[in-house]
Amino acid sequence: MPDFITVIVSQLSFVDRLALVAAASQIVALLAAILIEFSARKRRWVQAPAPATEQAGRAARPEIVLAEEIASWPSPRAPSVTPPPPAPAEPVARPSVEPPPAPAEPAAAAPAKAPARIGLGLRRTRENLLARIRAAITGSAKLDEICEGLEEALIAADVGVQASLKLVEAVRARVRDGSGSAAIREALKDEIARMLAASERPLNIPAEGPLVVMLAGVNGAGKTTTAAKLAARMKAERGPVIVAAADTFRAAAIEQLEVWCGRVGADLIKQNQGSDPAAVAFDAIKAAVARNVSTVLIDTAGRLQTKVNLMEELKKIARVAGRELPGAPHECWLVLDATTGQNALSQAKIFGDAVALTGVVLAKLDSTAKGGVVVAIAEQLKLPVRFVGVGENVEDLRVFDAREFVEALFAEDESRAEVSSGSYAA
Amino acid sequence: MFDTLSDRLEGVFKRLKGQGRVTERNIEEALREVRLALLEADVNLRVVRDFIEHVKHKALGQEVLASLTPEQHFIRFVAVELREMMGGSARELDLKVKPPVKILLVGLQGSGKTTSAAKLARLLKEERKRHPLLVSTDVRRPAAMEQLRVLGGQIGVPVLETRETEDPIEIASRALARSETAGYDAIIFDTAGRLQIDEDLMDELGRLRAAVQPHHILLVADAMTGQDAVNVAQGFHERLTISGLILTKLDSDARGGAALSVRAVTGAPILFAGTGEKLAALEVFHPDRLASRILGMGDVLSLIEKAQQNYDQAKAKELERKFKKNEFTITDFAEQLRTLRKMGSLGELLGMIPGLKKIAGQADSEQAKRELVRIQAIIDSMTLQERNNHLILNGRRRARIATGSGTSVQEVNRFVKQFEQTRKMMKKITRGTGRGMMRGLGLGS
Ligand SMILES: Nc1nc2c(ncn2[C@@H]2O[C@H](COP(=O)(O)OP(=O)(O)OP(=O)(O)O)[C@@H](O)[C@H]2O)c(=O)[nH]1
Ligand SMILES: Nc1nc2c(ncn2[C@@H]2O[C@H](COP(=O)(O)OP(=O)(O)OP(=O)(O)O)[C@@H](O)[C@H]2O)c(=O)[nH]1
Ligand SMILES: [Mg+2]
Ligand SMILES: [Mg+2]
Repeated sequence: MPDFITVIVSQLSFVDRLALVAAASQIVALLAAILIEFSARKRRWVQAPAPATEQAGRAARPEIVLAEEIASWPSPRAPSVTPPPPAPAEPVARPSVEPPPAPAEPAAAAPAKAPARIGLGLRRTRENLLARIRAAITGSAKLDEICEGLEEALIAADVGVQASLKLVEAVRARVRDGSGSAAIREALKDEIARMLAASERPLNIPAEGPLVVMLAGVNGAGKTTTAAKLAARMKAERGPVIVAAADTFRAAAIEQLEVWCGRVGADLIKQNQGSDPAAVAFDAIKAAVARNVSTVLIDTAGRLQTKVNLMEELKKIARVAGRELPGAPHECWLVLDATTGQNALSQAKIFGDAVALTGVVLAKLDSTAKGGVVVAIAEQLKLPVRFVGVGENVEDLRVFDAREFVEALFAEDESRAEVSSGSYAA
Repeated sequence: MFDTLSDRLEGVFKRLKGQGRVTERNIEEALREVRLALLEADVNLRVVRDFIEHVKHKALGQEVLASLTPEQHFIRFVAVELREMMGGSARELDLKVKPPVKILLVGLQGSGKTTSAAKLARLLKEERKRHPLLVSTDVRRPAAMEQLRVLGGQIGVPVLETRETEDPIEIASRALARSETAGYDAIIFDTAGRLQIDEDLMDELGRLRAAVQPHHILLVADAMTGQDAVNVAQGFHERLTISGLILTKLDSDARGGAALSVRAVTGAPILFAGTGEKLAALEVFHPDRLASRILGMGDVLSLIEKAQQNYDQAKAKELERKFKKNEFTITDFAEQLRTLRKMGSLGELLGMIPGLKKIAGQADSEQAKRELVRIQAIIDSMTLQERNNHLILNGRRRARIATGSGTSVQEVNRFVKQFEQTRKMMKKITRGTGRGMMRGLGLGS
């Protein structure tokens, strides 16, 4: 991290959630300071590219090592200790004016021959000579190799590095050194299935009045389609359904839901685009109570968890629902796209901070992605997976089955191991 | 989550200090940290493996460890390699073809094709002075055509009228004919989302390509994608030969390692970054910025660019002098506030600085925004004299300001106190940026 910024960051890190408002003016000033520093810094690169002599003339200035200098580095091939030759006169942040370089050979696609399987090298112990010797003596070297393979399988399924290492370590501690690869794999599957099962909990179905389910998630995850699938399912299982078109933002979101409701035979409550989504939820619940409808599904607009205003909007929808019908929304599900990587954890955490999440719907599991990040979510946040989406049709919704999911996580594991010793870009 | 790569590498290199050149053995541990960072950033396992091998070979024998901050050197070295792997520098979408330039957008369900089609049309229209036509060939997703129609309306770009009952290939042919007669010089084709393993729909794309003969086939990929990105890219690339990429939802807090995976598989340049739901939120993609982001270094480059646009040297120098000499006034403060707001929300700006992502969101909370509005109102109710010398703000003046700004005397008091604290802090910091102090803090290099 650039040093100047380190100082600023240390100044700003005192700013916690509550103090932030009080510190608004400090932040303004600090940001201004950062920016003037940057504006000056940049010019220095352009005007006088030899940093050593430059600094001598500017004793008052800190020697700032901006990591971003990489942008002006002449060539990655140059050894890193020689002072960089003059930076291009063109501002480095706008390289588009330079003639486009010859298409870089994708590094990964280059070797046609299969590279030796080198493993991920995630375990420190393997780098430690003593440990290796011990392993050789006790015969646990083989075990190491098996475990590493399993770690890779989990990481490849998006379980995440930390959760994968933890899971495999837990299993490793239990098995005997002589255990075969199959036995260890089964033990691992059990471990994961148990963990997923541990976060399961029954649906919070109210004793009387409608069950209100709210769907939330990032853009394009599959909320609206899931709402339609759920409407069909709930209608068959519990009777009439009302769907609230609480995405009043995205173009044609209401029309999309309208088409779906027509197909599955659910009532749609909507307002105009741009209206208050909480008001739509309110109307839907009111209508459900009046008409004695058993289920209300609230489809909300896609929102990135980092957009504080939109998260506030989500809170408001839940709050207004609860005001109209105490306890509502009874269930609040995060719709996750199975192809999502580690960001899903951040989604689950931050959405969970905003509204009381009671589950996850894993959409698009019919893709080639494994959706392994729900394992990490279950482990860290104890959120159960309620349903999985397996296609674009109404019937493509399944109740989540931990065992089945775990089997799928490891399916193709063997073939994957083979592939991984070759080049995927073949 | 985890510490920054920078922090972790610092630990590694501390242990290695004094060992001189990089050797195979002492670099292992540093590479392990890089490996973890890349995996946490969703770079595909196999891509990571190849990348690490590559970096290792290149780093061997270099005097990385001799520098005072070897971790910075090493990160820079890695970041440069990452940048190169992502194509080095930004690339332009090539429009120098016989018009109309035909662009086909493909990708998984929900990746952002329809939105990106409209964004691209807007960009062509506004920045390249083209006359684009938008065409939806999505006959599958409910209201997909309506969605594009609405978006086209928002940016004043014509959208071919189509129906869900039509055949996508027929729609495409009709679009070509229409552009011939109406004189459009760019056609952007939106397609239905599909899985790369869906034989029928991939076939359809093949036929669509044959009918359209597009100049560009752009894969639209979600920046939040995980390990599967390689399979998706490979599937689309094998079938269609992707010529470029659009990485969407980069306004998320995802590290975006999928970009590296996709790029490694297709070798195609990443042309654009989608950075929001609004149709203006499409930017030229900068590989170096994403390299820093993947490594957890923040998006400081964008911030530098913004800084450059908004502060000229004289202004910057003057401000720095005022900070140092404790001459920073409320007038200056108000001007800073104005400048910053022009550049984006406080949260957006903070989010570009490494280590501050955490509080970035809170800086944009309703509460914080209200506070800024209040501050602005208070300042607006001050006389010029008061703004230039806050020391004259006595009780009577404060009461007047409170009334004028619709706030309370307590709120005015709080602001003045905050302003004084800010001044003190800034004086300390700017004085502290001398080399001596940086060294003293153990931060100098
Ligand atoms: N293959 C597959 N596609 C799905 C699944 N669920 C949803 N989709 C598709 O994903 C795309 C996006 O789905 P939507 O339901 O519109 O997603 P959303 O979360 O409502 O999107 P926004 O409202 O724009 O945030 C559509 O093309 C859906 O058909 C699934 O389980 N499998
Ligand atoms: N935050 C953010 N949202 C985006 C971006 N690009 C697209 N979106 C949103 O992502 C969701 C899906 O976008 P669409 O354009 O409908 O995706 P699509 O690929 O056309 O979806 P299908 O046609 O169903 O396959 C919508 O809610 C968009 O508003 C982006 O760069 N940032
Ligand atoms: Mg939706
Ligand atoms: Mg679409």
